[in-house]
Amino acid sequence: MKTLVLGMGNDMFGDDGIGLHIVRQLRDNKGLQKSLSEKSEDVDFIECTLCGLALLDVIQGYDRLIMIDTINKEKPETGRIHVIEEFQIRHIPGPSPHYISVPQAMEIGRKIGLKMPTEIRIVAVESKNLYNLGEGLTAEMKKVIPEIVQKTTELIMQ
Amino acid sequence: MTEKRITIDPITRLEGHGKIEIFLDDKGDVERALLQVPELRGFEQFAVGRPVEEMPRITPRICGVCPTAHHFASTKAVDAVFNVQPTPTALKIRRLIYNAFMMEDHTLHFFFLGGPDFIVGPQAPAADRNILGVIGKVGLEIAGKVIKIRRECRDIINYLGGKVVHPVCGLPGGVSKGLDEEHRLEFLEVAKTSVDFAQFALKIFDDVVLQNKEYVDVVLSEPYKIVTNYMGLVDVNNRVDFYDGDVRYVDTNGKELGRFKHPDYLDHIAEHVEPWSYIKFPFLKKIGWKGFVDGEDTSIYRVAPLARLNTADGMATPQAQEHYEKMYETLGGSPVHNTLAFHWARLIEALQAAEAMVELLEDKSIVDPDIRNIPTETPNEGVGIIEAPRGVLIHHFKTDDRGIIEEANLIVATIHNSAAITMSIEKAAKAFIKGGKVSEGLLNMTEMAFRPYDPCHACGTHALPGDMPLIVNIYDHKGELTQQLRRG
Repeated sequence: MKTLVLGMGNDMFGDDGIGLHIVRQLRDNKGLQKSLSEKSEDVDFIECTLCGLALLDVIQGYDRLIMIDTINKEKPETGRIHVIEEFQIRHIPGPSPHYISVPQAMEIGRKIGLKMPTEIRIVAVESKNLYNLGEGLTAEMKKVIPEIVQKTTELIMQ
Repeated sequence: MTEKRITIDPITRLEGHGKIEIFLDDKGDVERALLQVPELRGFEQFAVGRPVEEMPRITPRICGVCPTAHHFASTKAVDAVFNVQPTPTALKIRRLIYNAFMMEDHTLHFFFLGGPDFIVGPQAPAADRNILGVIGKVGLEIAGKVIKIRRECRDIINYLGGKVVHPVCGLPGGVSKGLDEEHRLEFLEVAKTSVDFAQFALKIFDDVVLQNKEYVDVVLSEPYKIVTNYMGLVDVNNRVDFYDGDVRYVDTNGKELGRFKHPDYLDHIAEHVEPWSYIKFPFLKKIGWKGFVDGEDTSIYRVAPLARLNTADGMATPQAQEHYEKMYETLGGSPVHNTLAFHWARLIEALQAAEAMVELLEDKSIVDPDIRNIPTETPNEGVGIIEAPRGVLIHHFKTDDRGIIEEANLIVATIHNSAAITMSIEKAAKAFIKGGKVSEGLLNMTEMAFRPYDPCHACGTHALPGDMPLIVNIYDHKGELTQQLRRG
């Protein structure tokens, strides 16, 4: 089984870079990499700053997708973590290909016969700081990094 | 005067951004429509203090949709900062990557952006007017072809660009990776397939749109027409060039008003500020700000596919030229002011991009190893201008003598078009809101007015859910919400 651990976001926008940050940490985690190779697990770790249909290039060909991204909530609490499934993401066909979400890209991919992951888990993290240009995570976000890493690792090892 | 306000508001992550506000007068007719697009505020400060040669790797992160355009605008600006030109081979490789990018971006956007309006149809139910609706209509085979050709062009970009997500190949004076004979031949096949595919897409446009009187009437209709000036890059023969050349601008009758070399852009473009928007509205300095008005005296100009064709005397490749001539014959000569013709122009440009890829790859010298001129001069200041799919993109950096950025200025395509987009929305809104009565299809009609520009509101973050529904809120004169139209 081929697994993709996908960190989505943009580290030019503060906490929006958390997905990228987590994927980097997991990729550099020698313990995790050792356990994966002992179990002969085929896992790719990819940081992704793209949106729109370009996501198809990244996601296709995998059986399992574990994605880490920020989530927009009306009253966000920085660092609140949700582990959700594909159907739980609101799915609205947008007015432009710029706004294609991961679930929508997957639906298109399936429709046209590309191999799309069937097992999907999304680690979604809330933050108040997604729109301010500037590098680096907020202190509140940094505090929950170990928890996000742990949750994601559990999902990978399941 | 009693003022009623209608707001078309994308909610989700772009809260407060990309908002359309429509003000009605006391008769319930549209007095004014305002569009607020998000500008990438603060990037200038973000850039200050960084080594300028890092910009080609940083600016692609501004936009998840067109990183290749930002990469090369910055690369060209950095060439200028170090006063070094790329070698002839490096220039060919840069042009190859760029044309592959234009080809995949343009065909994708025709099917999935113009598609809801033309392939699915302007009168189709809102639930079908999206990408999945397009796939339903054109069939899985064609949709699969679009994705496949896109993927193959992306493979060229990825191979030469050096990084899967964003290209990182542009260096001052050249590129980091050359092409070998094996890949030249492989990519040449992709290029030839791209030409066939672009022709195929134009055939679909012909069958679906041009053979359908109802659609042609919509394209030519008054609500979707504004008379403006146009701006774009042209080569030495005044033909469309995506990568380089003079910036030329023409008036509402297609007569050349001016042209400039990249470092002189501030002598020709000025920016107007409005209290209701934090974005600036560029206009032609030569004419001076005349307000949000179209017609012969306007100082508003447009960029992007149709603007490029209106600005140029022709296309740079033979097959694209044939379609260019057909378009102007059909629509009554250059310049064409019908905004929906942007979609047609986009396909003609895709064909030029594909033909240019073939030309570049048939030239065996593209595999020469000489891909870099090493900069030797002290850095100071440089401007890089390129045609992003969505129009003229300007990157400008000033550095100290170590190449550390002291000042930066970026003007992206959506900003050039910001006044025109506002005017297009206002014109459509005026046609579809009368006496306080909002036409059933207002959302569709308004979207059709701004969709051709493909305005890039997505700069920046990617937070879930990553899509953009539209909501129209209609307020009475007391500011109370009386009606809400929701799409999505």
